[in-house]
Amino acid sequence: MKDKQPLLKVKNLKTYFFTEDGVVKAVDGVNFDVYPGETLGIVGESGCGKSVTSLSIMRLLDEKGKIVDGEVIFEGKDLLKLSEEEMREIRGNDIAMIFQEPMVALNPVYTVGDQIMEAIILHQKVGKDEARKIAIDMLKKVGIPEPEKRVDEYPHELSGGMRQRAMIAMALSCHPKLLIADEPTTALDVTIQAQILELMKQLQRDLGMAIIMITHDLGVIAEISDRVAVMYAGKIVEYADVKVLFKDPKHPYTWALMNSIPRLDIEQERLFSIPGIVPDALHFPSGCKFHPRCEFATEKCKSEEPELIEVGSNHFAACWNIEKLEAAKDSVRVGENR
Amino acid sequence: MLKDEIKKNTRKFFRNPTAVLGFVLLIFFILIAVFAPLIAPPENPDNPYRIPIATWSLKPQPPSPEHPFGVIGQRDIFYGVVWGTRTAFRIGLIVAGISTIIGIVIGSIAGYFGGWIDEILMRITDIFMALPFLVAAMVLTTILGKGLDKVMIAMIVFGWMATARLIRGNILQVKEEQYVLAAKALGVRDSLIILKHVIPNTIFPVIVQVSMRMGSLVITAAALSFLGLGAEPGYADWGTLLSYSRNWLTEFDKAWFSIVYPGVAMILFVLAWNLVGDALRDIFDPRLRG
Amino acid sequence: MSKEVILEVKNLKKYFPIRAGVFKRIVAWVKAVDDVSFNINKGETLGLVGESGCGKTTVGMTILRLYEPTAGQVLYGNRDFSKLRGKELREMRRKMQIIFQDPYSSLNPRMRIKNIIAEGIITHGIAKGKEAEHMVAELLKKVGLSPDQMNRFPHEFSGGQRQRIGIARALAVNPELIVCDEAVSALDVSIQAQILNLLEDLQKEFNLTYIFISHALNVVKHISDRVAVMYLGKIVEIADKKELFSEPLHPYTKALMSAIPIPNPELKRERIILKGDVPSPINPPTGCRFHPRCPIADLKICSKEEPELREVKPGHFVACHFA
Repeated sequence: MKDKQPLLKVKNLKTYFFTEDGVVKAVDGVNFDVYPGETLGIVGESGCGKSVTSLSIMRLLDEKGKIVDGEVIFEGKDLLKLSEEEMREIRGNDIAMIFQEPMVALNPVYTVGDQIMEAIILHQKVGKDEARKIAIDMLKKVGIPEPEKRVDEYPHELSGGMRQRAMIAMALSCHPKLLIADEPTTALDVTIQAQILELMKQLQRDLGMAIIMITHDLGVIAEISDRVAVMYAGKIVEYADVKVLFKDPKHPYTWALMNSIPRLDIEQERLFSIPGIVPDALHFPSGCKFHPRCEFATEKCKSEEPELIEVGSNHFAACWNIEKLEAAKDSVRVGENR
Repeated sequence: MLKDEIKKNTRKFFRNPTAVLGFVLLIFFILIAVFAPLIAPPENPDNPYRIPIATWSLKPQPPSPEHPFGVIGQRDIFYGVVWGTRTAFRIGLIVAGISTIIGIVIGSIAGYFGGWIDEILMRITDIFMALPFLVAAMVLTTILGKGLDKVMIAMIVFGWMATARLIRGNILQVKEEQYVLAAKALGVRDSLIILKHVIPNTIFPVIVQVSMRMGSLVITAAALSFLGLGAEPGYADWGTLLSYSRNWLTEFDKAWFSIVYPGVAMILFVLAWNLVGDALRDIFDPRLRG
Repeated sequence: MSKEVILEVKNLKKYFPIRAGVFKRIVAWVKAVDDVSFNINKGETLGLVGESGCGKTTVGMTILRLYEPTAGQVLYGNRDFSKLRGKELREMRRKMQIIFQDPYSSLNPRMRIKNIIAEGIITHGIAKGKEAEHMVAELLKKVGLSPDQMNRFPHEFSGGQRQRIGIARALAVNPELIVCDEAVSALDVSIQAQILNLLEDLQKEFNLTYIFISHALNVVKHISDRVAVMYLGKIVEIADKKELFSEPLHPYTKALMSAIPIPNPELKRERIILKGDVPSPINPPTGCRFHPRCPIADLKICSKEEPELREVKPGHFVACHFA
C-alpha cells in the first residue's frame, strides 16, 4: 500500500483557537497520510484535538479557530490554499463527513430525501427525478428498510440508528474519495453500533473510499482501522499499523491507555490507571505534554518536546524513554493480571 | 474564587459602555432621592411629599430662577421632580419586591411539587394574566379608593404572574438536575431543597426581570396617576405632575415645561433600569460566560 | 463473601403516563420497568446492563424512591422501603445513596465543595461545624482529592474530580448500598480506570454493596460479582459474572457480548448482528419482547407466550423458551 500515492497528506497542521482567556493550541503540528481505500483511525481522549483536526481538513472551523500553519494536500492540491468556492466543490463531493449526533447534522425541516438530493443535484448536475432515484438507491445501500417510503420522512421520524444510516447515505451519495467519520457510533447503543460499523466496512469494500475514523474507543479502532494515530494534547504521539500498535505499543500513553480499559476478552484483576487529569488545552504542560502523568518521565521530558521517530517499520512514536517502557513491559504485559 | 468571579464580572460590567451609562444614571437618581431634603428643602418637614403652593395664580409659569422647572397647577415642578424621585423608587421597589416575592412563592410551589398543585396554581395565574392589566388595576383602585398606596396594591395584585411563570419554568428545568435528585436521596427536606438548591439556581433571571420591570412599573403608576387614579393632587409624583398638564394640552407652548421635566426624569429612570437589567443579564447568563 | 441479603426487589414496576390533549388525559403508559425482581447480597456488586430504554436507570431511581414505584416491593432489611413516608423515609435514605452519570449536572454549581459534601452529614445530624468540616476533609482524602480544595466551587474541577466529589457526597452518610448510575460513562478512558479502581477500594474498605448500572458490558464485567441483563423493562438473564460471560444463555446477552468492539485487532470472532432497533417501551412486542430481533425466535411460541425468568442452573436465571 505504501508505494501508492497518498490521497490526503496532512503536513505540520497547526490549528489554534484565539479565545478571551488565551490561545488554545488545539492541534499543534500534526502529520499523517491517508492512502486510497484504507481506514486511518485517530484515537484520543477529550480535548486531544482529534475533532479539530478533521474540521481543519474540511475547513469548517468557527470564527475563533484559525489554521496558523501547515498543509492539507488532497490529490496534489493544498486545500488550505483553495478559495471558499473551490472548497465547497470538494466538500460533500470528494470529501464527506459524518458526525456523532445525526440529529444536529440533519436539518429537521427537510425530508431525508430532500437533503440527500440536495448534495446530488449540486455536485452531480443531474435532474430532480434522477437525484431521487439515486437517493432511494443510497438509502437501500445503507440498509434502510422501505427506502421509497423513508425518503419522504423527516429526520425526527427515524430512530437513532436509522438517522445515522441516513447521514451515511447523504455523505456517500456523491461517492467521495474520503469519508471523515467523527465519533459516528458514540451516541448509539452497542447493538446499533455493531450494525453501523459493519455497514461502514461493507460500504468501504463496495465503494472503495478511504475513511478517517475519529473515536475515543480503542475497541472501535481495533475493529475498523488499518492504521492508527494516537493523539494527546494536540499532537500525534504514536502512529502505526493497527496490529503492531495493539501488540507492541511504544508510547507510554498508548500503553497505559490500553491497560486502563476493562476488557471482555481477558481477565483483569485491577485496572492500570493513568494518574492525574486530561490536561486543559489552555494550560498544556511544557516539554512532552504527557510528562506529568507518565511514570517514566525524566528531567528531559519536562523541558524538551520529543519528535515522532521511527521505532519499527512504519511505526512512529514521540517519546524520549522508549527503552524504559520496553523494560517495564516485561513485568506488566498488556492483558495480563497485575 | 467568589472574589475572582465578582472581580471578573465587575470588569465585564464596566467594559460595557451602556451598562456604565445605566449604572451612572441610577446612581444619579439614588443621590437625588437621598439628598432630596437638601436639594429642595421642604416647607413642612412632617409632610415633605406635599408640593408647596408656589403661587395663587392658576396659570402655568415658565422656568425662572426662583422656580427652575417652572410652576404648574400652583406647584413648583422642580420640587415635585426631586421628591418624585423618592416616590418613583418607592413604587418600583415595593411593587417589584412584593409582587416578585409572591411570584417566587407561587412559582416555586407549582414547579417543585407539580401535579395538581401546579395545575391549580397555573390556572389561577392564567386567569390573572387573561385580565387586561390597566383595566383590572383601574377597577381595583376604584374599589379600594384613590391614593398611591391603593395603586401600588393594584399593581402588586396584577403584577406577580410573569415572575411566577418564569420561576416555575426554571424550576421544572432545575428539578431534573442530578444535584436535586442527589439531595433528595440524601434525605434533605423538600423545603430545604427548594431553598438551597432550586432557588439559587433559578433566581438570577428573576433578578434581571425585576430590574427591567422597575422602570415600567413607574410608567404604569404614572399612567394611573394621569388617569386620576393615583396620588392626590399636590403629591410629589411624576405622574401627578404630568396630569396637571392635561388642562394645557392644546396650549403646549404655555406648559411645555410641565411635560418635559417630569417626562425626561421618567424616561431616564426607565432607561437606567433597563440598561442595568441588560448588563445583569449578560453577566448572569452562563451561556455568555467566557 | 457472606450471603446475607441486603436488598430484595420484588415485582417492581414503574410506568410513566403519557398525557395528551387539552385535559392531559393519559393516552398511554411507558412501561419503563415491568415486573423486575432480584436480590443483592451484602458487600457484592450487582451489574445492571442493557441498552437505552431498557429501564436500567429507572430501576435504580425507583429503588431509591427518586421515582415512586407503580407497584412492587423494595425490601431493605425487613422493611418495605417503597412504603415508607415522611421522616421515616428521609432517615432511611442515608442507607442507600446514588452516584450519577453526569459529573456536570450532579453538583450544585453555586455551592462550595465543602457544603456539597457536608449536606448529608448535617441533614442527618451526624456532625456539625468544625467536626463536619473535619469529616469533609477526611472524605476528600479518601476519594483522592486534597482537603484544601474544599472551599472551591464545582466548575473549578475536571470531570473525573467532580465524580470523586459525587462519591464523597454519597459516602458522607455512611451508606450500606450505593447505586452507581452510569458512574463512569461520561469520563475519558484514562479517568474511567481511576474511578473504577477507587470504587473497588472503597467497597473493600467500607464493605459497600453496589448496584452498578451501565450500558458498557466491559465495565460491568470488570466490576460486578453478578450481572443482570435487561431488555425493554425486563430482566432477561441474571447470573454470576463468570458464569454469564463464559456461558451466556439468552440470545440477547449473546448478541450484546458479540457487539462490543474488542481492542484486539487480531481477535477474530463471530459477530451476531441484530436486526432492527430497540422497540419502544410504550408498545412492546407481544410474547417475548425480544422476539422481533431474535435470531433463534420461533414465532409460534415466542410471539405469543412471554417466557418466565427461570433458574436453569444454580444461580443462573434466563427468560427464554429455548435456553
